[in-house]
Amino acid sequence: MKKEIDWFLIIEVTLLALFGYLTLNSAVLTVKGGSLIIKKQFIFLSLGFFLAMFFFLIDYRKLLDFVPFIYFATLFLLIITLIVGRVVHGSKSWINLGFFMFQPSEPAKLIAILTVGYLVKVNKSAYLNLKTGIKIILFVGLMCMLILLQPDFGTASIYIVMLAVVLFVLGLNRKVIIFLIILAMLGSVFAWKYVFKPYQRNRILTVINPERDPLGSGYQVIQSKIAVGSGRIFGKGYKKGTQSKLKYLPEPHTDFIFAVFSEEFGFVGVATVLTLYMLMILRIINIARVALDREGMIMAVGVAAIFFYQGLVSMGMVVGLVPTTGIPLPFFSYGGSGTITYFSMIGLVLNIYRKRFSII
Amino acid sequence: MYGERHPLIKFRIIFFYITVISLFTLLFVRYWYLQVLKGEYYYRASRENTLRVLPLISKRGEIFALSGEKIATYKPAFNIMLDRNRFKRKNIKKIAQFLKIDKKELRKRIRKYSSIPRYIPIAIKENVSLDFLSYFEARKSDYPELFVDIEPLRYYPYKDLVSHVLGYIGEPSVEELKRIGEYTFIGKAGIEKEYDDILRGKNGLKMLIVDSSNRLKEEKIVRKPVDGKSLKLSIILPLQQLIKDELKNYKGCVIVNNVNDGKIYALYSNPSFDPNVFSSRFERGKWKGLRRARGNPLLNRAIRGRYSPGSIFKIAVALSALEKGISPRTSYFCPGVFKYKNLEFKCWFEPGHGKLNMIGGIVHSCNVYFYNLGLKVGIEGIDSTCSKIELCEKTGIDIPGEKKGLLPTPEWKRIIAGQPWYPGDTINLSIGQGYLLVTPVEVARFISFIANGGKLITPHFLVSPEVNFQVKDVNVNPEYLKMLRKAMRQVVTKGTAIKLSFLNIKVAGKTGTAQTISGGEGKENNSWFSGFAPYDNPEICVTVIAERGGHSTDIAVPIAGKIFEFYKNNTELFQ
Repeated sequence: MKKEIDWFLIIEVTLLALFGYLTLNSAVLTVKGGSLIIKKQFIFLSLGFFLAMFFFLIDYRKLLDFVPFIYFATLFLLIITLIVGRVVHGSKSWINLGFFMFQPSEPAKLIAILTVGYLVKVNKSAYLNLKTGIKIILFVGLMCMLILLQPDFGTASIYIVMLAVVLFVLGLNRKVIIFLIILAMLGSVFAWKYVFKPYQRNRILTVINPERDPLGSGYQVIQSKIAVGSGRIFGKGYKKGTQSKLKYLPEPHTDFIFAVFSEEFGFVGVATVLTLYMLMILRIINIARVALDREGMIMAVGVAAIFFYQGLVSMGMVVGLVPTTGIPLPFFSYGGSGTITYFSMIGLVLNIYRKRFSII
Repeated sequence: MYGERHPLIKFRIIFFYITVISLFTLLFVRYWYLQVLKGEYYYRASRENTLRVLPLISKRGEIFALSGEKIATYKPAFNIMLDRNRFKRKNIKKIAQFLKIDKKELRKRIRKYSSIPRYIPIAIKENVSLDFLSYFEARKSDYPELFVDIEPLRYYPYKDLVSHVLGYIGEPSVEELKRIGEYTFIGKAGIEKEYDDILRGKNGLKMLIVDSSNRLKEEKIVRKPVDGKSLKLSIILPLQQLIKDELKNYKGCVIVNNVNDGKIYALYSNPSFDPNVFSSRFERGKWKGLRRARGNPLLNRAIRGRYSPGSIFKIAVALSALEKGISPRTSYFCPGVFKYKNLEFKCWFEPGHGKLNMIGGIVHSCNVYFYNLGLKVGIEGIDSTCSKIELCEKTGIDIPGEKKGLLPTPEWKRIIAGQPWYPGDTINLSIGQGYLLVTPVEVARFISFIANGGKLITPHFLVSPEVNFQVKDVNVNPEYLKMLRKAMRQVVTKGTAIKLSFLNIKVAGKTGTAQTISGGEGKENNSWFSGFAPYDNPEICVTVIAERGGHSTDIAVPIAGKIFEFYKNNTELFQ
């Protein structure tokens, strides 16, 4: 029997979105304009659902034919952002649409994945060849560059990780991988010395020892660790977290939302969400494994890589495992551009799953 | 099934699988560590994060004088406070104008307190007058960030009148903080220090729940403050005032006490000071000035002033003689000078007193008589009697800081001066000169001892709550004391204190004119008087010393006379 719909994935995503929306309701209690945020997020979730339906119903192979046009439109959008964009938290990443602030670098993630799919599709060789590899790096790298110029290092790093995972799975030569790892290490040393700003260096050092600057960059980590730890096994109860309600947590509705969740639902809740989230990624990787063609496979891998990286960093950040970066947690953090993108990606992988036995 | 068909890609997908699982396991372990293993620790940390504890200041007990006047109480100090949670920086000029303070000053003060949490309001104008207060109240609606706080300030309404008795309060030292376990003002001298445990009370605790920017969310009283208890002292204020007026030109002190129970009705040491200076945190400068002031006003001469007793000591020498079995009828001839080997010791009365017995010797305060008597008794005899009646020992008066006098002994001299005790030392000692030192309160206890028939009673101020003070019966023949009282009565009727014979109360006493270290005559001498009344049934003892007061009859005796007169006319106050 051919299964057309991956109900497991749908259930996992629905549950995550449900938990996320509940947590957001609690997190915004102390945020200015909280009730508006809740209403907006509901609209984004609905919009996300329709976009997911759209990406589920069309044939992804037909969609790939439009990629050149979509790609350049996206590049144009990213350039526009650099010109007319609004600066929030020091990054020029938003375009003010009046009713809401649009962040092009979010949906561009999906476009980057589609671009990879397109480039793989037009290449006929069985394994990755140099020409395709360079093309992929160039096209995705260009988007990444535009985002770095905003400058939004957090979001740019998502593209880099996605690129790395995609090239790896596509069969990048082992020697090249080793070469790239060495290059990355040298690059990070160089970046540490010449590219990173002092506050960024500070954030990285804070991961190693948060107490080195307890009132500066360490403050957020310490407070967020207190929030998480104080949830103990069963949590303080929904909407009863003291750390977030008394404003000890910065950005409780976006970057630090998982600390709010952890405080209120305890380890039981955390274990549930971690499991759901991991199962969701494994499920997407499974779709990659069973995908009909290489472009389907690699696009599912790209989606898995993005969810994996964002989840790992966002949930690792609140417990001090990774540096403080403004990376939102999919399905939890507030944000219209992000929400619709994640749902679209889920729609896309469900589409890949649906079409896995197609002949044409 | 592209992935399935290509082993390399299949392998890499599986590698991706494993990476996801292992990194999520790491996350899982991390959360488990924080929430399960260290959950309690972080839970406590989150509680402490939000909790602030503030003390609720307890009221210090009040102190009353014998007739019920409040001599230590509080005055409400009205402070204008600034609630920094409502304060907007741009209003600073407006506020400064409104409160009539300097803008720079205000800015400086706000900056000074910037390190203490925002939820604690700060005083920006202290101790404002009632006029200012009504001005403020009328306009305060325009200034929501300002409010009036009433701080109970320790207040001594009689200012410098009873200050040496009451002492003062101040901020605790590190050791005191450890002992009392909380930050509050503490007694630093006098009654305030002696009975600090009764007066102080215990601060309460207020718990505040605040957010990360220290905005107050909730307030709860955890422990109510326990106010301190009140005290009643035996001080009689009009008497105290009388002494202050009489003594104003002289450094010195006066002690008036009950001979039978040790209650001190008055103790005044001149110069005095205003203890209110110590109550406020904001008058440090004045306090420093006091420490350096002329005449050392902070010195309580009654308990810390060590003086030569002069002729008052002759009573003790006479008692030593009686104790040694020497008859009071023993007579010596005074030619005005006493020769011992090649040394000459003068009598104060140069023509000489002629032949005197013991009573005569006391009545006329004849030096020559006591040179002879002292030599006959010997230094050991004098020392043993003085030790027995604890003349140069602390009395245990209930204010701290008492010093003890000095009773010279041959052994003491050997240790201190490296010299043997000479008969000349005994001769000097016999008239209360030389190395001998006493404090006025020791003299008061000694004369009371003579008056009450042999009881050494700890002088004290505390009337309520009731505390039993030491009363010690000393084994002395009552007949000896009776004889000494008779001699002291005759000092008044026909001796050196004859000025007191005109009073309508029968007084007995002994004068003393003690040479100061600088020696010399007249004004350079300390003027002493100590005596009791009524003679037949002794009730009160008056001890006066005026530094550089000249001859005792000029200063000390008239002051004592005023006090006895006061007693006679206001006996009901002494109940």
